Parts: sequence; C-alpha cells; structure tokens
Amino acid sequence: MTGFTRLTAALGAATALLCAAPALAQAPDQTADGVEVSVPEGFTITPVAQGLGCVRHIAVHEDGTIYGAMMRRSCAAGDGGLVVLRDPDGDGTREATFTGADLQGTGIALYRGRLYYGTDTAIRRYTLDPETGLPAGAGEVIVGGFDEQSQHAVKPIAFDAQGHLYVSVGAPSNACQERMRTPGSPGLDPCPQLDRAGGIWRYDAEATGQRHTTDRRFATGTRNAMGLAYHPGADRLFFASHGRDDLHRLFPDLYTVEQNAELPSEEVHRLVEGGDYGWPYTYYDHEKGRRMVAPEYGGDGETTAEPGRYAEPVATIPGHWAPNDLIVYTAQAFPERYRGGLFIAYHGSWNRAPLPQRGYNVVFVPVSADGERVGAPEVFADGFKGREPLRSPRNAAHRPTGLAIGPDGALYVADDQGGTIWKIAYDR
Amino acid sequence: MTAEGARGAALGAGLALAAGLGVAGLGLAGLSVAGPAQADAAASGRALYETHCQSCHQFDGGGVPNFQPSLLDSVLVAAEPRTLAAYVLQGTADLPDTARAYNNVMPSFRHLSDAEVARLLRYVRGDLAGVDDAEPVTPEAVAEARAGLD
Ligand code: HEC
Repeated sequence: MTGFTRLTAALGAATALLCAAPALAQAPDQTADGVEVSVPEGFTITPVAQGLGCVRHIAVHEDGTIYGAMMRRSCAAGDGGLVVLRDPDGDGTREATFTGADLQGTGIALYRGRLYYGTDTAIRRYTLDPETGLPAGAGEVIVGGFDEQSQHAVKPIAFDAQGHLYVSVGAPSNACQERMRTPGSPGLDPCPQLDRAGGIWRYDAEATGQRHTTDRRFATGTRNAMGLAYHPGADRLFFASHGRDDLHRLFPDLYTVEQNAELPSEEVHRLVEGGDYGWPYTYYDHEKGRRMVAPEYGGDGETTAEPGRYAEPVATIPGHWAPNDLIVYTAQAFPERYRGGLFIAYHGSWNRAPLPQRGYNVVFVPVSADGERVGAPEVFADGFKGREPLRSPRNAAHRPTGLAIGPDGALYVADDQGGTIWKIAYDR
Repeated sequence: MTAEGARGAALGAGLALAAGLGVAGLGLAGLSVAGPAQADAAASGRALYETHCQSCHQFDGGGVPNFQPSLLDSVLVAAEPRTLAAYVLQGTADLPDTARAYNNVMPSFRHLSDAEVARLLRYVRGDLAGVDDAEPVTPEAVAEARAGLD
C-alpha cells in the first residue's frame, strides 16, 4: 500500500509545480466501442480508422496517406504486414488496403519520398506508386543481418538531417541474467548481448545492402528503445526506452510488490554518440532521483551507480508504462508551447500486477526549440484503456503504440489492441 | 520557472499530470490486493500462484498478448499432470531464442518442491482454468516429471 501512497504524493507534488497544464475537455468523438479519450481543452480527437488489427508505428505522407506497420500478419484485419490508408475521393473517409504479404514489423518511416519498413531482421525500402500510394516492386534491403530473437525483436527507425538511419535494436532478455527470468540469477558481466543488441545503431540512410555490425553501434545500454525521433533544433535524436521489470519476483528480499510496480523508471534521453544508457548494469529510480546498481550486478536497491558513467535522463516516467513511440512536434498547428516538444505513446503496463495497470496514454514532455527540457511531463491524451482500474492489459480497450504528425500538423495515434488510428487536432 | 529548475524539480518528482485527469486519485477499490504470499510449505495454491506466476500470467491466468500465453484455454494446462508439471519445472529459458513464440520466457520452477508444484497446478487447473480434473496433479506425479527431466 505504501508504494501507491508514495506515487500519489509524488504526483501531487509534481502537479503543484506545473505552471500551466491545460485543462482537459471531453472528446467530441469516440470509437465504435464507446471509449472516450480525453485531450486538453482546445484539442479534438477523432478516430480516422478502426478495426485494423495490431497496427504499430505509423507514418503520414505529405498527401495525407497513412502507412502502418503490422506486427504480426496474423492479427491484421487484412492480408499483409503493411496497411495503407488513403482518401482518394477526398470525402474524408480513408480506405484501408493491406499489402506486403512478406512483411511484418513495427518500424516505419517516410524518407525522401520512399517508404522504410523495419521487419524484425531487416530494414527495407520501397518506392511508392504515385497513383495508388502503394509500394511498387519488391523493395530493397538497406540494412540486413539482424539476429533473430524472440524478445524485443522489433526494429524502430528514425533519420537525422545528415543522411543517417538509426535503428534501435532491443536486447534479447530482461536483465542479461545467466539464467533468464530466474530468481537470484546474476547478470553476465560483461553482458555479451550488448555487442549486437541493447543499443542504437547508425547506418547510411540510402546505401543498400548494409549488414548489421558491432562497428556501427552509436550508443549502448538501451534495453528496448522503441521511440526515437530527430529534434532539428537540438540536431540530435531523443528516445524513450522500456526499462527492465520483475524486480520483486527475481529479488523478493530487496524489492516489495509495491516497489516492483513503480520501479524502475521508464527513461527519456537525448541520444549522444558513444553514450551508455545503463542497461543491464543499472536502472533509474525516479523516487530517489538516482541511478542504481541493478540487483543482478550486486545492487541492493540502495546502492547508487558509478557517477558520471551513464547518461542522465531528460525525463522519467513511473515503471512499466511501456513507451512504444516518441515523436518531436515539428509542425506549427499546435500552440507555441508544444513546438519542439516530445509526444510519447505509452502502451501500458503488465508487470504491475497485482496492482492496477497504468500507462495506456500519450504523454507530452515540454522541450524548447533548441532541445532543452522546459517543463514537467504531463499526460496529454488519456482514457484509451476504457476502464478503471485496469487489472490486466488484455482487458484494455486500446493500447497506444504509434505516433505521427500529418501534413496538417495534427497528431496521429495508433493502437494495436483494437486497431484504431485517431487524429488529434487543435481547433482553438 | 527556469528550464533548469523545471528539470530538477520534475526529475525528482516523477511525472506531473495535467490538471483534472484524476489518475492519481484512483483508489484500489474493488481490488483484492494480496500481499506477497509466504512461499512456505503451507502456502495455498493460490498464494503460490500469486507469488510465482501472477506477475506474468496475470491475476486471472489470462496472460498478456504477445508476452505470456493464457493459461485458461491452454492444451498444456489441461494435459496429463506429468506433462504439465514437466513443462513448469523446466520452463523455456534454456531453449534457443528462436524456438519461442513469445516476447518473454517461461522461467524454470525446479526450485519449488513437489508438494508446492502440485498445489499450485491444482489451483491453476481447477480454480483458474476450470479444467474438469479427473486426474488431479499429485506430488507423486510432479516427482515423476522431475525424475524424467534429468
Ligand atoms: C517471467 C514471466 C513468467 C512467469 C513468472 C511464469 N510464466 Fe508461464 N509462461 C511464460 C511465457 C513467456 C510462456 C510461453 C513460453 C514459450 O512459449 O516460450 C509461458 C508458458 C506457460 C505455460 C504453457 C502455456 C501454453 O499453453 O503454452 C504454462 C502452463 C505456464 N506458463 C505456467 C506457469 C506457471 C504455473 C507459473 C508459476 C509457477 C508461470 N507460468 C510463471 C512466462 C512466465
């Protein structure tokens, strides 16, 4: 019980520090299941597609076409790992076409007019047919040779302004233990998984036939950085990564059920070349405001990690919220305070059981045009889960998992539990 | 508030919520939050489930899409006791990573006693999955499964 009370208190304190958090208005539109998502006053939220299946990351073309990656073909509403949503007659209703029979994945992006798709083992590129908006031809491999792995296998991608492609490669474990998920099992030291995973790699954005190699590792120590995006003013990427879990079950003498529910933090970072973000040796504790030594590496829940060795987070969010995507708001349609800021889609927790599950929302982190954080993170869109309290993710109506900005400056949010895409616009 | 001040304050405090959201005010009403169960010999099947299985398979055994399978409609849960016990004792953590269909691994539970595994699996089969247990899981069946592993 104490952990829960602590969170409430911490949230209360943080709310008081908030200078100008906008009040939330009731959403005018809702999905077919009647779930209402709340957004700040002045904004509207409208579903633009429903029932797509497990749509993951999305990208919006300058002509308004939405491209979505499907994580598993088996859960797509149509046949294929790519969904293309177009409105050819301009009546405001987008029609969905499923294509890409050989594809399944999460990463997707448009770059210099072409579509990039991150399957679990390769980043592929397709030219687009200007008539239909569909991929033309078989596409080509930009980077291949990623290891097959069952855990954290998805390959989110992003581009900078200098012609680089960034690929986040998740670690194939929770905490690099000698015996995975086994109570008390120590961590491998050094963790061999970091050679080819658990980091962010940088490749040429356009050269075909590149192979995944340790030499191209740009930063290390990210367990599963699913949200990454380029901030033009800062001229670097920001990312949000999934922290480890299972602290109580693995180390019941060191962590209570309540601590397990809140810890460790879900971290948001600025990406720097050569940076070490701490997994698996450490984790961040937002209640203490410190980076801690992981219990697999001799930590006891109290020991602080070596100072200066690991990057400090830009923001921290309570445990297990599961950041599945991050974008920088680079458009002009939202009010001034949102420009240059970060939107992060939280898929929602499962590892808080038996406490109620949290996350299942879109958070905004105020960041200035030059990339400095200028305010506390705030929940921007909420109510996706459709019930309160939520005890199991299975019972959530929707789980936010992808974000994109449209040519109209609107924010699009994708959900892989129900397959909805919403548009959030600012209407004054 | 300066940028520096805002960062320091909010980093310590965690996450600020937009006003009116009410998430922080949520109570645990209607939830039976069991404390960490005692994993001693006398622990009930339910307490053992809550200690060792619930965090992954969830309170109702329904699992988490893509991460942990449901135990409710599982052929394995309804299988012959030795088959089920062998699976739970062994887990899947030692299999090659490509042999798994889930974004997580099933730990080995060899450290639990035969009596504990039997009680735990009777709870999973009977109370959670509602399997008509013509052949309940006994400590003897678990012991046989264990002997077959090595
Ligand atoms: C760390 C998370 C985790 C914990 C804790 C856990 N499991 Fe599992 N369990 C899994 C995963 C993941 C799978 C799927 C494994 C695979 O296919 O590789 C699984 C599979 C199973 C299956 C097979 C289901 C099927 O139909 O395929 C059974 C039965 C099972 N677990 C029972 C249990 C029991 C009983 C406990 C507690 C003693 C337990 N599990 C604890 C993660 C977990």
